[in-house]
Amino acid sequence: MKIFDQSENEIPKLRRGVALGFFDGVHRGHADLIRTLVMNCCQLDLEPAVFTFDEHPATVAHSSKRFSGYINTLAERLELFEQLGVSEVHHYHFDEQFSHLDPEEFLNTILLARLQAGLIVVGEDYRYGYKGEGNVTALRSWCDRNQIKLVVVPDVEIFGQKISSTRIRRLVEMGDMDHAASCLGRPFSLRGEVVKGRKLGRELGFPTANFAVAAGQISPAYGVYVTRTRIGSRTWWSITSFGLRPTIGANDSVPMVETYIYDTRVDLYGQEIEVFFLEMLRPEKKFDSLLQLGAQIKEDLQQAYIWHQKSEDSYISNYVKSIPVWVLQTDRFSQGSLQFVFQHKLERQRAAAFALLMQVLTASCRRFPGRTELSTELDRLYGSSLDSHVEKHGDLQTLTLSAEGLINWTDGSKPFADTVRLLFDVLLDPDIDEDGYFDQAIVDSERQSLITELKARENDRARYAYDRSMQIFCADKPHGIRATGDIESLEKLTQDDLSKAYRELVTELPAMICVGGRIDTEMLELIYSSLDKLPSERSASVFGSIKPSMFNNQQPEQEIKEYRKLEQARVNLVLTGLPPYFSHRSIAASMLNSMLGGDVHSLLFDVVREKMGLAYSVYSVNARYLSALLVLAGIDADKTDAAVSAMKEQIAVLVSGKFDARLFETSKRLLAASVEASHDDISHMVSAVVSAVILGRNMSIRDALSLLDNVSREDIISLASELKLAVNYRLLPDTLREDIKS
Amino acid sequence: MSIIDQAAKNGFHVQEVRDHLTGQTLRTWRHKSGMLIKILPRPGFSKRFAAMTIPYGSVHQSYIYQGTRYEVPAGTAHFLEHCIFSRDDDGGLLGKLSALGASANAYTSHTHTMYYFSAVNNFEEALNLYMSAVLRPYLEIDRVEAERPVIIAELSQYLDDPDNRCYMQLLENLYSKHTVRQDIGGTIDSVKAIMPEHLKSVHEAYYHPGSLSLTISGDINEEKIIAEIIDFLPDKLTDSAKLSIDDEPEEIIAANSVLHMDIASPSFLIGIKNPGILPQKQISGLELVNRQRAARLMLDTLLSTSSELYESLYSEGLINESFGYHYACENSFAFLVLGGESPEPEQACARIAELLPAALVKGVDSEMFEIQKRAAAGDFVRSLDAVEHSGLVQAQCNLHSVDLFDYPMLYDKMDSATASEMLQYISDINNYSFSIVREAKEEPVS
Repeated sequence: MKIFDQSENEIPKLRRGVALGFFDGVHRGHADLIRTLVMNCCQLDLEPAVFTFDEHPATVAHSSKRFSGYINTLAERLELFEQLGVSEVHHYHFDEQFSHLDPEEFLNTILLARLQAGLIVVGEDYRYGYKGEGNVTALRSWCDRNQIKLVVVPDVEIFGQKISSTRIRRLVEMGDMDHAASCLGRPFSLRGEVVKGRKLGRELGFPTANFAVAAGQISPAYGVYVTRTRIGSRTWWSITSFGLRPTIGANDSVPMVETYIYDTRVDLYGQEIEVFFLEMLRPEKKFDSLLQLGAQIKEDLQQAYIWHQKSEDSYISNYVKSIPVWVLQTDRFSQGSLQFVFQHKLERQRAAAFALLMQVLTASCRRFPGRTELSTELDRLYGSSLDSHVEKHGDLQTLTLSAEGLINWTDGSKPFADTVRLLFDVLLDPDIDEDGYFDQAIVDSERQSLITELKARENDRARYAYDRSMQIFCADKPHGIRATGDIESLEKLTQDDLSKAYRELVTELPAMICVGGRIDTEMLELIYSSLDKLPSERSASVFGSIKPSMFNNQQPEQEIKEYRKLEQARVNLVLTGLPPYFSHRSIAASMLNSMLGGDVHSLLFDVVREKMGLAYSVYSVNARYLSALLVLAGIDADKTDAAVSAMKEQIAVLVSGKFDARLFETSKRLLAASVEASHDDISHMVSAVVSAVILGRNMSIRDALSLLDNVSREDIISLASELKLAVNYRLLPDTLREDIKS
Repeated sequence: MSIIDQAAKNGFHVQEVRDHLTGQTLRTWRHKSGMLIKILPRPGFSKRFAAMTIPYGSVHQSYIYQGTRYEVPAGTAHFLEHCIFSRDDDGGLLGKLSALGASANAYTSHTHTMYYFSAVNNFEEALNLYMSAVLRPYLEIDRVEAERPVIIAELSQYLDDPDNRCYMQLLENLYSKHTVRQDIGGTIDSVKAIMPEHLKSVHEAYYHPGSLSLTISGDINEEKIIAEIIDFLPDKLTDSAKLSIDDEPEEIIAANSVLHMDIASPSFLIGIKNPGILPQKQISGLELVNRQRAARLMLDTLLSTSSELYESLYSEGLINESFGYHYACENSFAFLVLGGESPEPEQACARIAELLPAALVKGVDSEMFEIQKRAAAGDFVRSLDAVEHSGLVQAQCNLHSVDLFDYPMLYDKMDSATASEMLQYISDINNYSFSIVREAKEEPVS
């Protein structure tokens, strides 16, 4: 990412998309806005840039108004912009002179002349120029005059209120870290260089790392917090006191961050650490004696440790060879689950090579050279599982190796840890010869297995119809490539292709790990030391930095009829117009889907199946990476016209807003129940963390429920109004073919 | 008052067992009406699950209740399941449950019908609705006629499903008289013949507290559950109905059949009929479950991905990962089914028919058998991590008067010699039948 300030006279001559704002905290709403910028720039072939200030305008233009401090330092803000995919940041000093700039002059001199904006992305409340006189209406008119595309990104609301930097500052000042994290999309954190303290903690048996808050940054409420602390690449459980230390230093005027880190003893003086504030345990208090303070600290330490053990909150515990290791700590399950996920942009031939590679890798390794040996070992580990699968997220292929097993057995063994070792064996010590070739017999049988599976997919009429409608809808875009590649590509693959794919997998593909369950330090050390064995030349970008592209189908409606020998016709409608996958509005799209055909109370089920008796199976699916809704049905061959009309009528009901309040409320309840129940299965929980990283949107159950709760009838009407029929596909019995009939 | 005291006051006898592997508990409540309730408490989980097991399935086309013999058309069990779920002006059972945030489902098998739902909130209210719908359904002609076209559409959908066609063809090859040879949903003609009287008589005979059982798992409030269900329970024991079924020959009907469909890739199923379990040679209870568990261990030893047989077939390209096996063992029938997708289904069948009996004759590797016992024990412990899955398995156990917690003990006691003995019929090739689905002979129209 390139960074420019106003002193730079020359900036590259490029057409840019520009996001405008201060973006303090780079919270959920900001992330939606900046990702909208990045995705639109990708489609319009523009450079995604952010224009921002060093100082918050409130500190200059309204100096009488209290400004409680920045959520992030400028350096942190820039880091967050980079993570969101911004390639340029232009940051200016906001001083008296700048604050007097005429609104239109600001647009003409900076956005048009200097940045050559072809796209501008702002929030709903964006103000600019002298006294903030410029607003979105004026900006829209200026953009129209200058033929610049303007995208206004809606605010994100959580717990009934708009997410804003001001709100987050208030929450942090109140010590409400839980809600602050809900608004930010990650925990609030403070960074600082560890200084020498009075070593009182050490004397009491709880050595702490201490630092003061950076100048201008916000101070949390004084108190004791459950925290996590990042030291270098690694993050540890910790507990932090923030305040003036009234019991021991009544004269202190500078509040200090004092952090006790569990499970490690390293000298941190002079090092930068980052403390993530998770929950306030208690406010700061003055004790009568050090003895009382010591007793309270012991109690705090125990309470915070239990909190960490039961947190069910995911976080990155370490980066090893640029691979983030996410941990999801929970004590509710007897088993543990680990997923090692790789990602890359979908291409037909590579998709097939990686799909076959994953099959071949999990068939054997040097320690267990053969399917039977490997499988028997898993049975011996009390039925542990080691699997691979390939999936598609838009135009990304994800390759997953997963291990599951019981954490402990009564004989003292640790089946899950042994299964994780096996996973690393198959990945890092595969059964290959000196030329890097896999066992030919295994390659042949795995290839045959995949080809047979792909052929058999066509046997299922519903899947066949689904595949056909997706092919038609995605046309030649990579989104339409099968996750496993196609038969022709699989047949062509050579040992060299597989060998190359393997090298690419371990040295180049961005990857992440997520491990869930009762995860102890021993397990984490096992993962870290295993990752250390990856090739030293590994140079992959961070997982999640490649994002699925936004899918935009602009083609006119296509109506296609195909014929096969079958009893029951299949009808698939593909409707476009839903918000992009990363938008927080996508939760409203899930509601729309639930109401239309996502469940048994839906319009399609209730009207098309139950009232009209036109189908046994009729439902809809939210294809979020395609921003599309699919309606899929099995219909009596002579009733397809009536069924399609009835389906369209149900969409019209949603557009008109003339739907039952019960339909709306039931969808909310069912979706809420499924959100809550998603935390009842450890492998789902781990998969959800991976999905959240791919989506770029991590949220707790409570956050998701709140976003759902905020969805209004108007949101549904507005989304339904945007739906446009792109594909009307029918698979009909060949007896209905006109040429045969005639 | 403790839960147990309160239950006793309401006419329940309560027993509690603790699993030594996991420390989890299972409570059994039996009401004086005969109603059996199994409770698997799972504190800390969000989802709460309930299942009602009705010992009435597609094979029950003739039964005796209170001294009278009743005959009903094929597909009656499935039709009744549909009627209990079908919508009315209030949205029907599904609509009402959805409004509470509960997700409900049901299935009909050869031997039983299972109604189940899960909910995070409003669980007791949903349970009340569910009990009411199952025990007091509306089965008049308007509902029956409304449901008939939906069922016919479902049956015609199955006709397009090559896997279903392959399975039905196999059962027709294995059994000549037993009603298990008929599709669970019946035929379009038999469905047309089902009338409200059939449904009502079945309901009276099988859908009552003395016959059905209820299983509940999750983070539950037992006090509230008693309050919700007590009104559905009569004060005295109710009669049970009995299946009436003709004797079935020990022999299979046909050794192989091939069906041609418009498909891209063929598939196969092999069925192996157990001539030791037939209507005239019924088994039940622990003996039946013991056979099911023994078969699981034996089949995992002989056919799982760890077995030599699987490796041979896979490396020869005759099977792929879709290959699977299932031992259907019930009171009056038992058969093993195995198969999957294959580019050469005839060859796959021939190789299995050669290798499987030979493996049994050669003798099962007792070390492999012990490894499978470890895997099964691990599976059991893992299954308790899932509220819905463990509840559903317990609901199936209720049919045979055993508990999920009996499984580890059954596995532990089993040895390879006993298990081999129970599966001796697999070594006789005369019990085998092959069902193959192949591509249509003529060119498909496209």
